[in-house]
Amino acid sequence: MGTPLYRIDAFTQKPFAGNPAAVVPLLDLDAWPADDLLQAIAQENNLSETAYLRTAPADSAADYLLRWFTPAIEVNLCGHATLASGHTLRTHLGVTKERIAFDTRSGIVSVEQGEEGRLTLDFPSTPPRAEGQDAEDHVDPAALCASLGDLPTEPIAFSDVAREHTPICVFDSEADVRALRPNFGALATIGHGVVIATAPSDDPDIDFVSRFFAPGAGIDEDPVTGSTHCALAPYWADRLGKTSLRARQISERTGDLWCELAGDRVRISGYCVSTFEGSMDLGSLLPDAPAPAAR
Amino acid sequence: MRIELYQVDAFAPDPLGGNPACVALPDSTLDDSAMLAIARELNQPMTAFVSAPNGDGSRRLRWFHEGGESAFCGHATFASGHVLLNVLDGAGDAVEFDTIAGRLRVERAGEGLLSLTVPALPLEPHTEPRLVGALGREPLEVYRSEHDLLAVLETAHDVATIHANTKVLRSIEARGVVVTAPADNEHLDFVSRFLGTLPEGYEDAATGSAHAMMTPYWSKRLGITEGLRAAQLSPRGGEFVCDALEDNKVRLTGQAFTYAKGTLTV
Repeated sequence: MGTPLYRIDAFTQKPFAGNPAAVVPLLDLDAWPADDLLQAIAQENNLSETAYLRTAPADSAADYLLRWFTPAIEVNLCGHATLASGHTLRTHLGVTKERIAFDTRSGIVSVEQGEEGRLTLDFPSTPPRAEGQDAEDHVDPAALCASLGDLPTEPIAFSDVAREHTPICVFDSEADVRALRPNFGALATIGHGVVIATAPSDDPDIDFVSRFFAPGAGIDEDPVTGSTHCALAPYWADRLGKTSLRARQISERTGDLWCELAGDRVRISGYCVSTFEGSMDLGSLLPDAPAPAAR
Repeated sequence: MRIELYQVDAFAPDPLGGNPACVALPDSTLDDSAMLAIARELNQPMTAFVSAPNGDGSRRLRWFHEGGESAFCGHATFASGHVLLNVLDGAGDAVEFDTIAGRLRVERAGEGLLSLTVPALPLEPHTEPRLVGALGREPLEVYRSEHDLLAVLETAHDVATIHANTKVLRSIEARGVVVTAPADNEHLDFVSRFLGTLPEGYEDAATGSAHAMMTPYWSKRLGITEGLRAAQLSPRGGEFVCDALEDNKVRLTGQAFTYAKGTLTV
């Protein structure tokens, strides 16, 4: 019978777009399996993230416990795999709660029912800093140009999303961002090796586009990234004079995000689509979890 | 469209070891771009697409990975045989696949094991000056097959401790460099690793084609034609028992474990 296994594309309505994540519900296990087993399963899945879920204890503020593993390591926070987990619970496991709370390494993270069938993550808003506000916010323009292949048109801003002192490079046009062909080896040596590129969108329905390069974190280009929008949303909200924004991450896979500024929070919403439903059978390595509720 | 999908660990010492492959059994023929898109999404070393049986019971089989269609993949063929013979529990004791590399046969080998029979890959002596820089040591012998280089080292420890210079390796014009040496214990006859040139730093977990290349060499050197026991010293590990057959074929026997099964919706 085995343990349920789902593959979900997050921040898209189209299979094979968005950012993929595997979701493994271990809902009725009393304890986590060993870390190296969770790591080996994540490596076997070979997606950027595998999310593991357990039902939280009765006295917890959260509904579920949630951990995220890349093929190589356990991480502290992952937006797209959280969205995928919320989608899995609602779509495949019969969960109808308006707001699902997860207890994670980064505290309580929630997924709420959003508008028009989207799911919503609630993150802190972190407006970018201009260069000079923090002594360590600095990028050598020549090095940046050599690694990105182009120089941004606006002064570089900085944020601590993803890593500390992440440069945010604002370009004139969507075409400029699309055209970037970074030298990832060189980019990995600039600061922490992560860079956000952004521009206004050509599409009248979309406010801004972005791409996120993170060779310093082991991912040359992330397909769709929730956390970068913690800085991008307040930046574009300020520049465009609006608090509800539509964003598109124009990686090869592409993804769509709806951002709502609410005080010191950003609510980041998107769709998910399931591409695989099945089960894994690791025999005695992993105790069987009960079958998911029929849906 | 819903497609029956399995993920299998091939030539695996244990579950979650060996070389993973996805095996898809679509109800209707998929076009090439769909198969490539599926393979990219699944992000496994290889995804095999198995067709419905032909008149003679054989099945068309094609292999796709992130970079496109593959000209030959041993482990995904082995995985496909496992699905048809062990998981779907049909097709008698053997299945023949009709592929661009010719007819490939997977059959039950007793005790839950399976065998894959493939053409032996001929070797020619070769020189490659970049190998020393790539491997960090001078091989004792170097050969070339159609796709790969074979570098024979002195000891299993040498093979295990190679730390390839991936930049130099990448410059070598081959799919990969197989490093091999005699085993250092009585349970095995030879060991190897497969160091891919692309993507940079790629090491394959359990490589059927490498064993198709090595079996005639080790058979001749050790004077054993059947039952050569080989370990691939990759992080996930691979285990093969190799036979050098007549008419230039090699039979590779090992274990396959079903990691997952389910339905892909595209």
